Amino acid sequence: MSLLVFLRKPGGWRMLTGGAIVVFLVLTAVSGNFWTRFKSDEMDFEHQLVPPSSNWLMHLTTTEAGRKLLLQGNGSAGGSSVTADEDILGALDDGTKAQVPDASLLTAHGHVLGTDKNGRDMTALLVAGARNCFLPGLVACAVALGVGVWLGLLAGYYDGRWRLFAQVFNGTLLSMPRMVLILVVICALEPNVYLTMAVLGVTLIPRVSELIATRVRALSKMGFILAAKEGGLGDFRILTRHLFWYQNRAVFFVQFSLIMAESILVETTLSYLQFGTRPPEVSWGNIIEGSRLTFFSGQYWITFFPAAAIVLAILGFFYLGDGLNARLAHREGR
Amino acid sequence: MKAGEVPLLEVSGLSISFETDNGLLHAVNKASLRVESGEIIGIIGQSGSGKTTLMMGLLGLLRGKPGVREGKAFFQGKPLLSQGSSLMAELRGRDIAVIFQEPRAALDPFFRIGEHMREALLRGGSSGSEAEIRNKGLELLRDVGLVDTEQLWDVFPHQISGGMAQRVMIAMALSAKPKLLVADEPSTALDVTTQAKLLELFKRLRDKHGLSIILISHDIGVIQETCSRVYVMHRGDIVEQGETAEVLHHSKHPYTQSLIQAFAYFASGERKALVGAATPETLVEAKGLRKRFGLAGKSFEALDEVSLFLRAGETYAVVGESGSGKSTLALSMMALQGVDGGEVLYRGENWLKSGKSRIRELRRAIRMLFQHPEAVLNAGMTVEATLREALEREDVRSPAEVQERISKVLEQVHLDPVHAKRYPSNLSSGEKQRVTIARALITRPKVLVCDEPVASLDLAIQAQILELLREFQEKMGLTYLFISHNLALVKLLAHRIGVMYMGRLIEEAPAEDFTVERARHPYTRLLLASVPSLDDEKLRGICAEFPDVEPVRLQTGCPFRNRCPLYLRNHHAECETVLPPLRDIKKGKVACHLADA
Ligand SMILES: Nc1ncnc2c1ncn2[C@@H]1O[C@H](COP(=O)(O)OP(=O)(O)OP(=O)(O)O)[C@@H](O)[C@H]1O
Ligand code: SF4
Ligand SMILES: [Mg+2]
Repeated sequence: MSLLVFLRKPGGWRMLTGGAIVVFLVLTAVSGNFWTRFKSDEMDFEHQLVPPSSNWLMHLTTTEAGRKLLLQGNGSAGGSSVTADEDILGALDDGTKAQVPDASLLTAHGHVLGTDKNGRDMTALLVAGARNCFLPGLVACAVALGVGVWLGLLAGYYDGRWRLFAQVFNGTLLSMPRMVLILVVICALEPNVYLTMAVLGVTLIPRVSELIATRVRALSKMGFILAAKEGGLGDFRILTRHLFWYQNRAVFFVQFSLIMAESILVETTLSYLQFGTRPPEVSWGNIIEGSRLTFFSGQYWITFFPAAAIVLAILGFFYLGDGLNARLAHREGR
Repeated sequence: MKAGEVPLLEVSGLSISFETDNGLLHAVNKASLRVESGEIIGIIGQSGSGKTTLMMGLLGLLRGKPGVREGKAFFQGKPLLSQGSSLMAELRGRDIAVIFQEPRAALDPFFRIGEHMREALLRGGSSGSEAEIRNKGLELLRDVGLVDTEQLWDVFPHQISGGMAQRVMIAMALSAKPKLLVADEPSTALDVTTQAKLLELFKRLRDKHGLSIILISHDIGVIQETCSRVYVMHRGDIVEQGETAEVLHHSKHPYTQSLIQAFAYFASGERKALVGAATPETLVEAKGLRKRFGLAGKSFEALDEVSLFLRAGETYAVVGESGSGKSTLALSMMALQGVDGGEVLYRGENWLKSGKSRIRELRRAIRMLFQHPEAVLNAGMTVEATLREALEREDVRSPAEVQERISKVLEQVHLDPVHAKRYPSNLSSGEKQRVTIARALITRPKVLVCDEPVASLDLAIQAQILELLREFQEKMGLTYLFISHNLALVKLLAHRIGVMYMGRLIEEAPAEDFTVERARHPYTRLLLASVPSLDDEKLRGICAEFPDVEPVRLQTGCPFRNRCPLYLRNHHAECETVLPPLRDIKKGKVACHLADA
């Protein structure tokens, strides 16, 4: 009943969908390879570059040409392993036996989502990669929100010097293109993904701080701030409790979700460009990077699954943030 | 009305509902009313009772989604609400005119008053040359009691006061020679002195032009003084109707009775102040407080050498019209706003100059109530969180003790313990004000500075809150600095009263001496004579002595002299050159050259 009420209010569905996705992904990341049948660093040389074990998944993630390649054992890599499955794959090409039951495929090698060219299980890789997407994202959030919220609170509450400082600081940052800044830092220092994410966080400070400052500036003129002072509350308490916790925490969570979505995007991009998480550490971005050859030969499951995971994660955080924002706007009567 | 004549407006069974998150909200329920030509009727009820929705719904002026509207209405026998009827749109602005609560919001700041008038006249169907239109406009402005109309023609809305703006609005409304004027809380945003003049104007318009007026108000005094018949609204229902005197003196519905009881609390003139509460000890003393504000290059003294003292256990009231500096005084005395001079002594200690930690300590002893309880409570905090926070600086540590203090204070302000878990948005405005009182009382203060503590509340709730404050004075010996614009109210509650005008204290006297006969300063007499419902020819006469001009900040001499009948009679030279000092007289102080000692 109360769930229904929750869903009927603005943003309810978005919050529920996004929240479910995020919770699922977080649980996955936290549990790691604990529950997966294979481990991400386990190489199954018997089954290199095998396609997903169910018929329709394989059809979804390979092209006609790709399947032929696999069949002929002419795949750019792992040709020998394919021969082991030749009889099964042979069924595909043979018109009369095209309806070979899926069960036999599934039990054939046990890699539900297939393997990569080193025989690593895709499921295990995806699960392991989740952690390397979230942790860097958290670093970006910590920097952007940790600094941005304080700067916003101070600039909004004490007009004068803090406001000027925030203006100069934010103006300077906004005038630098984000990607260039990140690449410069990577080139100048070591290509460490956490450092990169910290830089990303810095570039997001202006957005967060200006959002908070505008709200705080309006709130500071309201009676309850005066009343809090009258009650003998110090500025620190007024800022952290009245202005942040009771009035701006929803904004904080919205921004948290949106920044997570953004940083996952940036992290995967950088990892793909080999500036982010480097092998043997696994991240969704570098799984895709490792799949370039198979992608172009028509066997794109190695690309498909991490890409889907990225889209899902970003959508999840985005929906969560967007739903929260809609709910907040509704509550404030905007 | 002669029998068989068609009433000007007749409404029967009008219902209006809105769609909300929580289903259909019935704002008006089967309301029926009737207006004859040439009469003023009143619609009374507390805020949220559906008064405005009823009239706006009838006139097709509801904002947002129209919701559901049922019922019948006839204007001079012609149906108003039938499907697809454009009659209403035709009538509105011609035969029916509306004026709103906030006059200035309805005037376009970029157009001069004259342009507004011209526009209204043309829209109302007047024709003629530019000069003829102008003459008609000027006459209308004079009709609504404005002076210097030639000058007024060329000024912008922000250059005139709220009272004048309201009159301009009325003049515009009259330009089309309407038969019916709907006035929604026309005087609520105005000072008492201005309000009294406005009600006079309504009666004159009725007599001179045969105008019918529907006056929507929450103030029984206003209704009683002007309306021949009255409708009482409560939660969307018209619960009682009839001749004003009949309804007010022999009300049948319990809601009307409670309204009247609350009104009688104030109108009876019976003093509510505790006898013998004051002790000789001086608890708080303000000495020569000064505060300057700069506005657009010009600066002015919002507080000019204000000195006063509070004896322990007494109620000292400060009255004055809007902008006289009452709130500035309160904030300065609470050390919530820097001052440009003067000191505030608490038990002989100047707390404006104390260290930060000492100030915070003193804030437990000197607490404040604010005018708008809505704005004072943090919307994200429950009642309990608010009270818990107030206890933070107290020496109560154990959770059990905190809990005990909270439930005790809730009991003191007569709030149910279930309210502790609520958010401000789920409290009525009276309950909110109780929470702010609880928030102050929980630190066991000695002094309470109350800035218009009941001005934003309905009459019935006002009486309850004031009773509560009185109870605390009796039980805990609290000292109040009570700030209000309502002289009738403070006369009942206070032991001593100070009157402020343009940032200066101009008279101070025991509350018993605040009568038209005994008040020394002409301004105090004007305030006293302007209180509505004291329907007395003598008072009306006194009001009429005062010219209908706006307060201005005069640089030299007595700031009141442009409104002062004593000065205008014989242009006493001293009034023009010397600022009258606040001098001691028998039982009080007064700042007027001509007041006798
Ligand atoms: N922060 C401020 N900056 C500039 N002018 C101010 C400020 N606060 C108050 N004023 C001006 O000081 C004067 C006194 O204001 P104050 O609020 O004390 O009046 P008041 O008597 O409380 O009026 P009201 O009955 O409307 O509450 C007004 O002219 C007001 O415009
Ligand atoms: S000093 Fe003069 S102008 Fe001022 S109130 Fe007294 S008589 Fe009037
Ligand atoms: Mg005020």
